[in-house]
Formats: sequence, C-alpha cells, structure tokens
Amino acid sequence: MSTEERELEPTAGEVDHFIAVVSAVSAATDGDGDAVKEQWAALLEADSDAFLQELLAP
Amino acid sequence: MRFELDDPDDGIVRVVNHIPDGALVRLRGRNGVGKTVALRLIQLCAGGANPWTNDPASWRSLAQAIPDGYSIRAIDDDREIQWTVHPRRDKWIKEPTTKDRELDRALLAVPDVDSVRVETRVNGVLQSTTDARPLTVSLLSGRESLLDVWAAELLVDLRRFTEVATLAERRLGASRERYGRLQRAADESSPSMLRSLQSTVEDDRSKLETLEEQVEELRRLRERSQLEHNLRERLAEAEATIPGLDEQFRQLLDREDEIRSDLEDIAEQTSLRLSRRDLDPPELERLDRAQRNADKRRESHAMAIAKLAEILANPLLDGLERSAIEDAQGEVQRELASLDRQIRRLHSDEPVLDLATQLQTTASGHRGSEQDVLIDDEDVVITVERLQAGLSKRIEALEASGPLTRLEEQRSLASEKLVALEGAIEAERVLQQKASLVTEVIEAEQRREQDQQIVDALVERREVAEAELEQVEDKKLDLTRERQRILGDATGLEQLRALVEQRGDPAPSVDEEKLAELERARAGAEAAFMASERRLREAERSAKSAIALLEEAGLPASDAGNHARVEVALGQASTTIEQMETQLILVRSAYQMLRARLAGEDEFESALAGRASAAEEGLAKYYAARWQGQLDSPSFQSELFQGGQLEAIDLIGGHFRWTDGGGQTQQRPLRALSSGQMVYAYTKAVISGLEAPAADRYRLIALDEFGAYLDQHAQERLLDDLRNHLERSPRTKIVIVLPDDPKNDLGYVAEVIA
Repeated sequence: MSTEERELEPTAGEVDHFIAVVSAVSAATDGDGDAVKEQWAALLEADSDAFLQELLAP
Repeated sequence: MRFELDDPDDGIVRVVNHIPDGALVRLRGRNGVGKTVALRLIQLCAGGANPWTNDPASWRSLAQAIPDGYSIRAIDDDREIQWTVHPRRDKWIKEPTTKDRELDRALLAVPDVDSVRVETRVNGVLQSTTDARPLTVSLLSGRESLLDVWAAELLVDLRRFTEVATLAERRLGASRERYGRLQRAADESSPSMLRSLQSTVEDDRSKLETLEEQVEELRRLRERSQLEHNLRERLAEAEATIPGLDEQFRQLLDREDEIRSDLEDIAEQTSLRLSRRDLDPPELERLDRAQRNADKRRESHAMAIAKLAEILANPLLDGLERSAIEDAQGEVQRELASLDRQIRRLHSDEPVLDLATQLQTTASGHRGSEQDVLIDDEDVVITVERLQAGLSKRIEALEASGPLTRLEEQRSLASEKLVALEGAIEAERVLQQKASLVTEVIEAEQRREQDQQIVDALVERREVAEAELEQVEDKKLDLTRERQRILGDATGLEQLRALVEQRGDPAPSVDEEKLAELERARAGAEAAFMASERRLREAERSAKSAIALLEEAGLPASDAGNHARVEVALGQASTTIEQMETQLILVRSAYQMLRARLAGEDEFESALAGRASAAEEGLAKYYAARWQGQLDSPSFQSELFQGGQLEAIDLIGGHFRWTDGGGQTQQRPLRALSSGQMVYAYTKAVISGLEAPAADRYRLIALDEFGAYLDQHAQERLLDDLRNHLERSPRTKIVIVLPDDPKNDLGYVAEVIA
C-alpha cells in the first residue's frame, strides 16, 4: 500500500460511517440499503484482490 | 492542564503564549492578540481537522510565521506534552484540506507529511505513532450557526468521503481491471465461443472444399479441353509434317545406302591401290634393277649414240649421204649381190657371209629378248667399233689389191656397211626398247604415286563419307524424334487419328474468367479458413491459459457446467462493482446537494436527476437522525421547542418538527431560529456528542468567538451545561474565547472559571 493510500485508508469508525451513508443513500435510491454492505466492508478493509475474491466467492 | 506557546519570530503573527491551568477558562482579548491562532496551533499540533480549512489566507501567512522548531507545551501535574513544529515551506500546501487534519496519522518521525512535521514528546519521550496522540482538540466557532456547522460538517464529511471514495474507486478500478481479465478469461474459455469458432472453422473448411472441388472440376475440364486441343493440333501437325519427315527419312536412307556403297567402293579401291602398291618385293626389285640398268644403259646409249654420231660423222653415214647410202644400199645390195655372184663364181666369200650372218644373228638375238638388251649394249658398241676397225682395214686392203680387191673390198665394205647399218638400226631399236622399258618403269612409278594420291583421296573421301553418314544418322535420329514428338505416345499417324476419333467431340472450352474468379474465391476461402483455424487455435491456447487464470482465482471453468457458474459469478461481481460505483457517484452527489442546501447556496445541479434527489433524501435522513440525537437533551428541547419533544429534522424541507406540551405536532423552519438559538443549539449539540477522553488522554474544547450571538442569559445556561459536561468528562479542558473592547490594549486576560 502506498503512502497516499495509507493516508486515504479509513479508520474503522470511518468505514462504519461510510457504509452507513452509502447504505442510507442506497436504500433511498434502490430500496435495498443492505445489498452491498458486506462488499463495501470488504473493499474498504481489504485490498482489491481480496475484495474481488469475496465477490466471486460461491 | 496549562499551555505554553512560543512566540513566532516574524513580528506579524501574534500568539497568546499562555493558557492557564483549570478545567474551564475564559480567554478575553481584543482582536489580533492571537487567541484563535493559539488554539488553532494547539489543534494543529495535537492532530485533527486543519483549523485553517476555512481560512486559507491565514494558513498561507502561517507558513512564514512559524519558525522551525516552534514549540508548544501542555503541562499537567505529572505530564508534559511537547510539540515541536518543523514547517516544510517548500511543500506547504496553499489550500488546506481535510487531508491535513490527520497530520499525525503518519509516523511522526517521518518527515513526509505535507506542510508540517510535528514531533510529539510526552515527558521528553518521542512518540513515534499516532496511537500516542495524547490530546484531542475540538475547536468550535461561536460565529457559526447550526446550519453552518451542519453544512461544514457535511463539507468535511464530503471531503473525507471523497478521499475514501477515491480509495474505493481505485480498488474498484483495480477490481474491475482484474474482473476484466477474469471476464476476458471467461470469454476466452467460453465453450460456446470455442464451439462457435469450431463451427466457423468447419463452415470455412466446407466452403473451401466446395470451391476446391469446383476449381478442380474446371481445371480438369480445362486440362481435358487442352489435351484434346493438343491432340488435334498434334494430328494436324502430324498430317502436315509426318509425310515430309518420312520422305526426308527415305531420302536419308537412300543417301545412307549411297554413302555405304561409296564407302565399300572406296574400301575396295583403297584395297586395290594398297595391293598394287604392295607388289611382291622381287618384282619391285627387278623393276628397280631394270631402272638402274636403264639408267646405266641410258648412259651407254648416250655413248653408243656418240659412237653412232661418230660413225654418222663419217660421210657415209651423215644425213645427206644416208639416204644416198640407203639409195646406194640397194645399189650396194645389188652390187653386193652381183659381187656375191662374182665371188661365188670366183671365190667363195664365206667369211664375209658368216660375218654378216653372225651380225644378223646377233641383231636378231638383240631383237629376241628384252633381257638381252639389258646386257648386250656394250657388245654392240664393241661390234660397231670392231666393224669400224674391220671396215678401215678392208678399205685399205681394197685400195692395195687392185680392182678385184677393190671390188671385193668395196663389196666387203658395203656388206660391212650394211651390217653396220643393220647393227646400228638394231642398236637403235634396242635402245628404243630400253627407252620404252624405262618409260614403262617411270610410268609405273608415276602410277604408283597416282595410286597413292588416289588412296589418299579415297581415305579423305571415306572420311567425308563417314562424316556425312554420321550426319545422316543424326538426321535420321532427329527425324525419328521429331516424328515421335509430333505423334506423342501414338506410335503412328493412324493411331493418332484413331485417338482423335476415339475422343469424339471436343470438350467445351473453360470460361477462364470464371475459373479465375473461382480461384480468387478459393484463395479467399482458404485465407478465411486458415484465419479461422488460427483464431481457433489461438482461442484454444487462450482458453487453456484462461482456465488456468480462472482456476488460480478460485473459479474452476474446466467444463461447461463450471464455466456457466463462473460466468454467473462474474456477472454478479460485475453488477456489484457497477452498483458500488454508482453508489459512490450518488452519495457524492447527495453530499454536494445537501451541503449546498444547508449552506443556502444555489441548488446543486445534478445530472442524476431523480435518483440524485432520492439519494439526497436518503443522505438527509441519515444526517437528520444523527443530528437529532445530538440535539436530544432537555435543555436543548427547552431552549428551542419550549419544552416540547423534537420529532424530526427535515433537512430537505428545511424545518424541525416537534410535539409541543399539548401533544400537538409543530413545525418550524430551520432558518427561522435566531443566531443565538442556532449557536446555542450548535454548541450544545457538539459538546453533547463528545465522549469523555480515554484514560491518560486529554481533550481540549475551545469555544472560539463564543458569546458573539449569545445573550447573557443563554451564556449562563450554556456555562451551566459546560460545567455539567466537565463533571462527566474528566481530563477535559474548556477554553471560552470572548472578544474584548478594541480600545483595551492590555493584550488578553485569562480567567479561570472552574
């Protein structure tokens, strides 16, 4: 992870806040606020490979 | 906890350099003494949001004002926290953003933080990580209304969201990129795609084969047509040429016979000439000897001629008298006969007759044999000489003996003359025979030379004939070949005719343009087939590596069933990624719209239209719920809603909704609150949301410009609330910053309230 990415890396609280915001907006727009919560957590807490692995996991 | 701050050394920026100990301190001073700067510097060092975010001009001037090694100390009973500031003027950002609010998130000892590097020491020990942050600073501006604060909070959150969204977008982008690779791998390993390619290959192969058959058929037809054309041409050529060739051949055969006959003749003549030349050696020797003798005899003959000439020089034998003598010969003969008769009557004259007979015999002997001529020439000469001598004696005797004697002598002389003449004649004849023999020998030699020349000529002629014969043979061979060429496999003209007749009607001629077009089509089909086959091979190779790639990613796609599941998983992943990317856009848009709405700015234009509005509503509900919790306190309810119960904050509609004491739902616009109410509500809201610091940690709450919009009554109630908060939150220090009379040039006054 680069220095810049380290600086951008959200804290655990920020991750929760981020997901809550996205979930709220998603619920208002798509009617399903919980649809991709786990994926957002995976994306923000891991790298892209792990995220994609999570996405592709059966 | 008290704070000690160095003075900047630029002489422009002023800083309050002492904030006394005490949980609640009121700091009063006129504008410009450095109250706010001091609190912002403490916040900058302690970490948190950049306090100059909304004041970039002051932030830029600070870059020159803060000396390297500028120090701030927070001193408690048993702890001293020291921050040493090292400004990085070459990297000093001009527009402070929320990025700077986490200055201390990086390792403090690593000088790679933008603008400023701050070293933190606790009791002299350098703190190397952000985990060691000992002080949290909350700087609240008393000038800001509730809506301003909310708008500012939204802005901060928007910026942070944007930062995190940037990270998320990068990861989503990387995921999409990897997804793309996997999707391509799935596409490349798609059994249906491979089947389609195989089908294309088969189709192309079929087209190619069809075209090849058509081309081959036309080629065969053309070949047949060409063959028949050639056959008929051959027949025509044969009919026109073969008879001539045959005639030439016959002529050659005749000529060959002639040459061979000539050669035989030459051989025969040569043999003859050679056999003549090769006569038996004895004969040649005889001829040579005869020639040599002839030469000698020629000399003797010359001598004899000379002798005869000498005789003929005698008047009796010269030319004029010869005829006279010959005339007289008869007379002499008659006289001799008369004398003979007289002698026979008087005396017999036998010796003379014997001599004459002898002479005649000798002469006839000379005439009898050619060989005698070769050996008796000298005898003739001797005889002539003897006769000449005898004649002289007779003449003398006749002159001495009187008339009879003279007569006898004359008769004897005449007889001798006659004998001499006959001997001379005979000698001449013998000489002529000798000459003839010599001539014959010479002619034989000449004939031999001629024979040799003829033999040479014959040899040359034979060579010419043989060369010509060889040419004839070559020509015959050429004619034979030419004949075979014209007739081809046919052994004769008749067979060729039979072949042509057997072929029947000529094959239809081939449309060359059509054939060329088919050839081009066939070449195109071949190229297409090869290309499709190459694509198939490449696709199969790609599929193999693609399957490996998918398996490496935990997506087994080795068979059609697995591949279908992989495609479903990839499809779902793509949908999810797309959904998440859309959510980022929607949330960012919602933040911008809601912040603008709360800040009273022009309505934010979003390209997302209806969805953006829905997104803003969703975000507004989220923040309304969050802020409602902050405002959910009795004092707040009492201050703003006359003791009623706050039901909801409608950020989109821009109003509060609450239930009053009588149970009636009331509604009031957010902007209808007075500035004092807003500041009070804001301050209450913020402080109520602050949790007590953890053990061995401190919190500094600075209420800057506090009281500018609060009346005395509100200030007192707020002070009560702050005291209550301090009671619940140990290791918390609150500094209230109040303006002072501008005319007061005493600097500032720090008053410890609690």
